[in-house]
Amino acid sequence: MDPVVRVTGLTQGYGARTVIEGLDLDLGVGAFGLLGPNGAGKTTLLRTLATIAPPGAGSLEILGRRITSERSARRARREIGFLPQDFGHHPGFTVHDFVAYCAWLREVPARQVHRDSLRVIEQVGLADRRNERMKALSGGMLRRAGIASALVGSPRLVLLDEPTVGLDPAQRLEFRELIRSLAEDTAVVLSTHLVEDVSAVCREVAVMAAGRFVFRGTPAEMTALASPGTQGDTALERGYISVLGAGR
Amino acid sequence: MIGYRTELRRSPLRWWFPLLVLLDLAAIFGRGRWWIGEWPMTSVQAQIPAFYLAPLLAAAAAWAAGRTGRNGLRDQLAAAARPRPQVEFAQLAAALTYGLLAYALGAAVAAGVSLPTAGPGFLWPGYLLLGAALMVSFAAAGHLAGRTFPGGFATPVACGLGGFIVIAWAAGPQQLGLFAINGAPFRTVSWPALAVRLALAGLLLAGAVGLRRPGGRSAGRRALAAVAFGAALVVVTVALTVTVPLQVDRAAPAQPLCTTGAPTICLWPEDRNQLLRAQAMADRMRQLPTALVTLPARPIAELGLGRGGSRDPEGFYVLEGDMWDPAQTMAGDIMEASRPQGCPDPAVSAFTPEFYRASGELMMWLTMRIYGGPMPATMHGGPPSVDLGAVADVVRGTDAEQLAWAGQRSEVIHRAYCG
Repeated sequence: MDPVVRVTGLTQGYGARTVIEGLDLDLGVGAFGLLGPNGAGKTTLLRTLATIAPPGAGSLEILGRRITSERSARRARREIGFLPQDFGHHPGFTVHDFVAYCAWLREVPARQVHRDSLRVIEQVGLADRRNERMKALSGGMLRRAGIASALVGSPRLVLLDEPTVGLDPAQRLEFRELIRSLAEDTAVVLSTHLVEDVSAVCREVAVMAAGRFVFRGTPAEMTALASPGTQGDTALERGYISVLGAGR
Repeated sequence: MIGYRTELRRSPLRWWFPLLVLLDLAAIFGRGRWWIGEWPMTSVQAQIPAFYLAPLLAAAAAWAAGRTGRNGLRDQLAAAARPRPQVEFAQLAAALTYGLLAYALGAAVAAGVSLPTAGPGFLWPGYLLLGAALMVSFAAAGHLAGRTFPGGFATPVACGLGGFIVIAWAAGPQQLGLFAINGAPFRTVSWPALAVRLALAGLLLAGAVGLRRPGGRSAGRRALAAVAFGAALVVVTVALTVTVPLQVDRAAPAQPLCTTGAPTICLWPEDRNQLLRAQAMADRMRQLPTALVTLPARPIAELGLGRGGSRDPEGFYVLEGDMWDPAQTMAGDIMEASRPQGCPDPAVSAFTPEFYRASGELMMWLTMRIYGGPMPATMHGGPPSVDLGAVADVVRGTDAEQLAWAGQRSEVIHRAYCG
């Protein structure tokens, strides 16, 4: 079976500055965690996977189709749900308007938009606030509305950049449960600073530093790499710090 | 449709719409009521609100278009499957819907009040399309400005004020010709000129929704599109100036409306609501003292009905729906027909200030006699050094008094010609 995402020899940058260099990645169904310090290239990789930024070099395939043109990118975007790190919203929109608008942007068939918007709004726990304006929501609720906007239309690839920022502990637990169930039949890429989110939901994890992967494996494998004496509250955190240290 | 409906719901113009309608109606009725009952004038009048709505639409479209940038949706739109022009069009279409709906409502009201007194016919689409093209052009330009400079204050204000400045200084009928202010029945919008203005609206619309910053996957194509847009804009702007004047003469109707009896006054069928007044004027002309004046033998025709078309020096023009100006033209015709015959052409030095004053006074007396009263307050002007109030007093006098007064002026004129 073809992977959902295949990246080969990806080099990406802004002007003269190279952010990602020679990266290869195959992703199938399941949750994939992307860890790394600020500036490691996580957001750039996600923007590339979202087909916003064309590869500087190398190739990108989504669902078996190579993305070489705006037309092929647009076709792929119908199957991609993307939550940017600083996602925007129109403050006057209601939650339902916002999610439905995002569905419209993704060309979800018109007859499905209303029903599917209600479904994902309920999934993120905002059903009782679906008619509230976005400007009236708290930070955590806004984040959940953003997650709903990425899930509407049942995309086959979901890219979430720092999705749990602003969520309280209970909401984070609910979010993890949501991602776990989503990852049963969807490829989910979760970029985050929070290693516990990764350990809770991701089958596979990669650590990025300076534009390349310094680790790829399961959370358990990363935990096993923890060096004695490394600081960290959990075994996975210690593994992560160790991997980063070795990568540098 | 979901995007369009959403944009309609969140458009700032949703709240301003009643005000737009009020503004539209104020622009239509605030200028006077003389256009009522005359289809081409009603059509031009229905188009007048576009002067005000277009800059407002430009400001509103700029504000709305800038929200994507201000609200941080650039990444979401960049990651959208839906082509960007569709997203932009939904936004611009919402602003246009409110503006054009207000415009259409105003036109419907104008048509409604004209219908009972106007004859056969209806609003002339050329004028309405001209106003619509103006509004679309301005809204599209505002949208493009808002996309480029997404500020929530400076850009909309600049678009609104800039729009008013363009309307006031550059868009007039003799300049770029983006609108008409006169709906005389002998003129109509030139279809090539209208086509160019619609093309301008279409071009700006395409640019507003289709142009993108060069860069990304289609950098070359985007740059090429921008260059093509700029070139097309230059071509259309040149075409605008080439297709001025905006209005062209209409072919005279085979059967104009004419009064009965001599002298005959003929009107365009669109001016049928003036026919009774014209008949009364013709009747009053017949009552003028024949000892003093000679009535013209040929029919007195509205501009465009005679051989000279709209530049016929002997034709009259129903200015702002009032027959005062025609009465003046008819008085001039009578003065010309009554000129002393058989005397050699006098030297210019024979035309003394006294002669000019006598000619002016006699002409205004004739005008008031034909018109049936003094100059209405809505009209202005008159021959220099003529006291219109004094002439009006004369007209109110007895026939004998008027005859004596006019005879004195006639004598002065006769002396200038025949010594």
